[in-house]
Amino acid sequence: MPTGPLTPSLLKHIGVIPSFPAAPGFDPAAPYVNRYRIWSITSLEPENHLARETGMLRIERLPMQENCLSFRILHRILLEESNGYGGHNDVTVEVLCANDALSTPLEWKLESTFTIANSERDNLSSRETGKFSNRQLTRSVNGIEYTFDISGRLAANWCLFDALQRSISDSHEPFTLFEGFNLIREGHRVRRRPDLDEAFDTATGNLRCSTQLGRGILPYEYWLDSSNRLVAAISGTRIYFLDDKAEEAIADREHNQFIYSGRGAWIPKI
Amino acid sequence: MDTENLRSESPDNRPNILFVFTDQQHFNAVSAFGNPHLHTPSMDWITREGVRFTNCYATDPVCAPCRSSIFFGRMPCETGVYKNELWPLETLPTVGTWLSQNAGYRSVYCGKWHLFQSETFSIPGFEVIGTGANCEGNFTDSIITRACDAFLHSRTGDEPFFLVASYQQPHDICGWIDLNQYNAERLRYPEIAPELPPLSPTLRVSHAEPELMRERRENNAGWKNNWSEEHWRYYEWSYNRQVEMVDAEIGRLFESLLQSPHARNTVVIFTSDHGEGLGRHGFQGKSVLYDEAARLPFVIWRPGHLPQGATAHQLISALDFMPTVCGLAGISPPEDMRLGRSIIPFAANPSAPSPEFVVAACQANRGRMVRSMKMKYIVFSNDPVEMLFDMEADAGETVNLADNPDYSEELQWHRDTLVKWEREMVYAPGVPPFVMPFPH
Repeated sequence: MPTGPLTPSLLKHIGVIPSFPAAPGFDPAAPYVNRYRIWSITSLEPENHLARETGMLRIERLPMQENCLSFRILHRILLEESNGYGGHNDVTVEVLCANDALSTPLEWKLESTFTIANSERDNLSSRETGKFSNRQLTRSVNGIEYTFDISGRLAANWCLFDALQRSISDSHEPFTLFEGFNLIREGHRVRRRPDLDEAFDTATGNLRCSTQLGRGILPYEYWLDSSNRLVAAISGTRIYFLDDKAEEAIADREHNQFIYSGRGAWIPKI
Repeated sequence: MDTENLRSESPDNRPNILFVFTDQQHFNAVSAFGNPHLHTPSMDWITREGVRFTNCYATDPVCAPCRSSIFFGRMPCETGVYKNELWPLETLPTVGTWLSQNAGYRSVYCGKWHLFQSETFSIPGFEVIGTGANCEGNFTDSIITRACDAFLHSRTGDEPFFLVASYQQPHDICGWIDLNQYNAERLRYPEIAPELPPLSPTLRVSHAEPELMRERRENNAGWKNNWSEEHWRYYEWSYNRQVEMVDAEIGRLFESLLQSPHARNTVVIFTSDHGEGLGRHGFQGKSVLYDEAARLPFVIWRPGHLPQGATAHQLISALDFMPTVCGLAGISPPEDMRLGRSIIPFAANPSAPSPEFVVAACQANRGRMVRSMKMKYIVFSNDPVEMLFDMEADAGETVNLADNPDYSEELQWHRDTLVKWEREMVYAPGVPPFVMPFPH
C-alpha cells in the first residue's frame, strides 16, 4: 500500500493525477489561465478510499494595469449532504497586486455566493472590497469596515500561486498570509526544497518543490514544472492540481449527483 | 477586538445565542489556557472576556454520542446514539425545536451535525445552512464562517436567534494520522524541529487498565507502527496547526458578531464535542475516558451579565448545554430531561459549590467514568479492572489507586454513585446494557 505524505508522484501512482497539461511556451510573466482541480485525500487505506473531488480554482492573470499585476480568481467548493449533492460556494475575486516577489495584494473586490439546494432562506451572499497599504489591511464587508495592522509583508494564498511561478527563491523574511482573502495568519515563510524534488513523467520531467510553513496551516508543498508553472499545491489532505478540464470536471460532478458508497464517493485506483 | 461599543437592537430580554462548536479539540489546546505550543488569539479573546470552565466533560468522548447529548440533553444510551452512525430517537426534541416552539427563537444550524449524517440539509427544529464539503474542516470551516457572517448581517425578522456554527477542525487530524501513519525516515520540515512540543510525559502507561482501553491503544497507528518520539511530537505539532486554523475562523466570526447589531444581546458558548489523545497514555484520537479525550474546553461570554476573564472549576458536562440554553431563553427544558443543569449560576458565581460528580460513557456503552471534584473512577462492563485517579495530586492520571486500600472508601463511593446513576437511565431501544462488574 502506498503511504503518505501526498506528492504528485504518489497521486499519479494512485490514479488521481494522470498527467499535467502540456505547456508549450508558458510564460509566468504574461497573461495566463491556470485551472486547478481541488481534491481531498484523507486515507490511502484501500478499505477507506477517502479520495474525493471537492472543487476547483481558476486563476486568470490579466494584462498589467499601471505596473500592477491583475488577477481574476474563482474558487468553487461543492457543498454536499452526506448522501447527495447540495450546491456550491463560489468566491470570486478581482485583485490588483504589486509586481513583487509575493504578488502582494493591493486592492480587491470579492463576492461570495451560495448556490444551495434548499435556498429558501436569507441571502447568504456577501460582497467585500479591500485594500492593503501602509501596513494596514482594510476590508469592507457588506458595508462594515474591518481594519488590521500587518507587521510586515503580506501575501494572499491564491496570488502566491502566481508569485511562486515568477520567483522560487526563499522568502527569508516572514510574511502574513491572507488566506482566501478572509483569514489573517502570521509568521509564514517559503523555502525552496531541492531535496524534495521528484520525477513525474517524461512529458513533465522533474518537479521542483518549495514549502510554506507558518501559523494556522499544515505545511504547503508547491510543485513547479520546468516551465515554472505551478502544477500542484498540497497541504495535508488538500490537493490542488493543474488540469485544463477542471471546470468541466466539477460541472460533471455537480450534474451527476454522486452515489453514496459507504464513506467514500469516488474510489481511486490504489 | 473592541467590545466598548457593542450594539443591541433586541426589543426583549431573550438573548441571541451563538454556539461556537469545534470538533475534537483537546481541553488544553488554547494558548490562553497556558499552552505555549500554539497560538489561538480568538479563543484567547473569549477566554479573557468570558468565563472559562476548567472541568467540563463530554458525555462520551466520540463525535455522535456527545453531540446527541448536547443537542438532545440526554445521555447517549438515552438518545440511542451510543456510538457513531446511529440515528437519535425520533421522539426526542432537539434544542432547536424546543427553543423555536417554546421561546420563539429562530434556530439555525451551520456545519457538521453527525446525527446520523455528518452533513445534512435537514435537522429537526433547525433551519440548516448547508456548508458540508467532504466532512473536512480545511474546506468546510471557511464556508461556515462566510455563511454565518452573512446570516448575522442579513437576517430578517425580530425574533432572537440560536445560531450553531459547528466547525470541523481540528478533526482533520484523523486524516493526518492516516496519511502519516508510518514513521518518516526523517522530519520532512527540518526547520520545525525546535518548535516540536515535548513528548507526552504519559506516553507509556504502566498501571492496570481495562482490556478495551488497552485494545483501543494497540489499534492506534502510533502504537501499531511503533512511532518514533519525533513522530509523536510531529503529530502534536500538526494538530496544533489545525487548532490554529479553526481559531482564525472563529476570530472572523467574533469580529462579525461584534460589528453586527446583535453583539450586546448575544451569548456566545464555545466548546467541543471531545478531545484528542496527543500521545497522552499512548492514545491518538478519542474514545477513552482519560482527560485528553473526555475533557472539553468550555467558555461562555455574555457582556454585562457574566464576569469577565473569570475561571470556574465546577464540574459540568455536555448534558448541561440544553438546560443552559433553555435557561438563557427563559424556558424550562423538557420535563423528562432530568440530568443536566444550567451552568449560568456557576458562570455568574465561579465560587459557587460544584455538583458532586459528572458521568461519561464510552466505547459503545461499555465504559463509564464518574468524575468527582477530587477523583476519577473508570470501569467497563464485565471487566474486573477498575481505575481510580486522584485528580488533584495526579492530574495526568498515571497512578491507578483502585487497589490501594487507602482509597477503598473513595472507590466505594464512586461505585455506589454509578449504581444510583445507572438506575436513572431510561435506555433507548437497542442500546446494549452497561453491566456493573462488581457486586451491588
